[in-house]
Amino acid sequence: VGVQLPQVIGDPAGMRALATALRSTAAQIEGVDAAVYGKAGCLSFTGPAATRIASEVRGWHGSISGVVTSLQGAAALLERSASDVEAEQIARARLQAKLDEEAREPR
Amino acid sequence: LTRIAGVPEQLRASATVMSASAPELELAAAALAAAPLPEMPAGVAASVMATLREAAETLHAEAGRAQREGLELKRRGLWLEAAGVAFEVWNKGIFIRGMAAGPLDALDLVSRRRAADLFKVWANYEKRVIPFVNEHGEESEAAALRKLFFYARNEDRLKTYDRYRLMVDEAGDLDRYEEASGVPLAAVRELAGKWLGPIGAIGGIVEMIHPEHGGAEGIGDRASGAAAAVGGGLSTYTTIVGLETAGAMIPGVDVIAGTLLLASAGWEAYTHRKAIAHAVVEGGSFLIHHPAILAGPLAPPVAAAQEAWDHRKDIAHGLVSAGEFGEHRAEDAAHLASSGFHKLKSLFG
Repeated sequence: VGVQLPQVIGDPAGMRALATALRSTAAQIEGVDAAVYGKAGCLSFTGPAATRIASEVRGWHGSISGVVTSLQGAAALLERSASDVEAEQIARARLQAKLDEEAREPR
Repeated sequence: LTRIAGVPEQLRASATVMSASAPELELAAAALAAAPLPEMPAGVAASVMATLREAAETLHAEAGRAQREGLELKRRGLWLEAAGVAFEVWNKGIFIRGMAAGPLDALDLVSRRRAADLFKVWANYEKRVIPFVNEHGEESEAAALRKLFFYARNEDRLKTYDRYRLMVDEAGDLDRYEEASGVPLAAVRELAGKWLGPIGAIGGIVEMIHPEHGGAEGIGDRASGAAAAVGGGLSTYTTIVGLETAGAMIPGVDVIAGTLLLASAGWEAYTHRKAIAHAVVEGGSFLIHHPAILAGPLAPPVAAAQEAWDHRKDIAHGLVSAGEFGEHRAEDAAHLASSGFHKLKSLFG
């Protein structure tokens, strides 16, 4: 009776595709942030409303930058995990093949 | 004092970019929320799913904020632009008004110099000739010779024998010397009134929209601005069609305009009371002869208005020397005071 190793869970290709999509979205959002903050972040505008708006714009920029960073972090995690899963799947396949061969050999 | 300044074009450009970012962020949020998830290890899946959910929520919220602040920036840009236009109109008005007031100032200066000159000559006359006349008699030959010598010695300052006679007849009265200085002030003022009326109306409207002071004084500024606008408009109207026609066409217009103008003059006098007092002190003899102006809003309004008009230049020069306000502010007050007074005078006979 042959030994069946457990499957390594994960779809490396799908994970890499998602990572690419996340990086693309992050770049798109970063572009929007640069366009907005490049203009609204350096307004020649003074007064109480100007102070409030400047604070809102800074908050907005901080929040959007945070999203970009977390999306890039998730993409990096997915890419690392995809490589790990891929390596484990190859290792499992080799081991399984070896085990299958041993099981087939006459004693 | 709150200072608000900005570049309207810059605000509008930022508003456009900010508003345009909202749909892009919404789109990205929707894409993240609906992203197909591949099979992946449990720990990674939990982390990635949490990141995507939080990112989508944040982007949705920030899209709303971008939309809101974009609208706010657009509105502020429009306000600044409107304020800029009003300021430009105001500046042009002040410039034109300054141009119109320039000849008046120059002529007033000439008349004051002539009057001051005669006053100095009178001081000498009082010192050198009058004691001699008193001693020898008015009709004596010695007195006549003394007068002749005095005239000859001061010929360059008296210019003509008529001026010498004027100096003696008016006996050192500065106001009378100024009145008789030979400068055609009345004619020039008649001409300037046609220009200053519409400018006063514009200035009054600007003052109503942007009062100089806050709180109770701001309300006063608005009232003053309204009065100036009505007065300026009425002045222009009456210049063109005549006061009788205006009164006939709009019943009660005189009373309303007169009351508003007088209230406005009182407010201006009160606002500038310190500067007026300073001008009075600087004026010296003016203080003795015209005490009503000192009382400011407590003085009988018509008398105060008349005195303010009669001595508008003293007030204006005093304001400049005090360094607190521009000359045109006092001129405005004097102009309003005078208009109010004359309107009331025509009403009550």
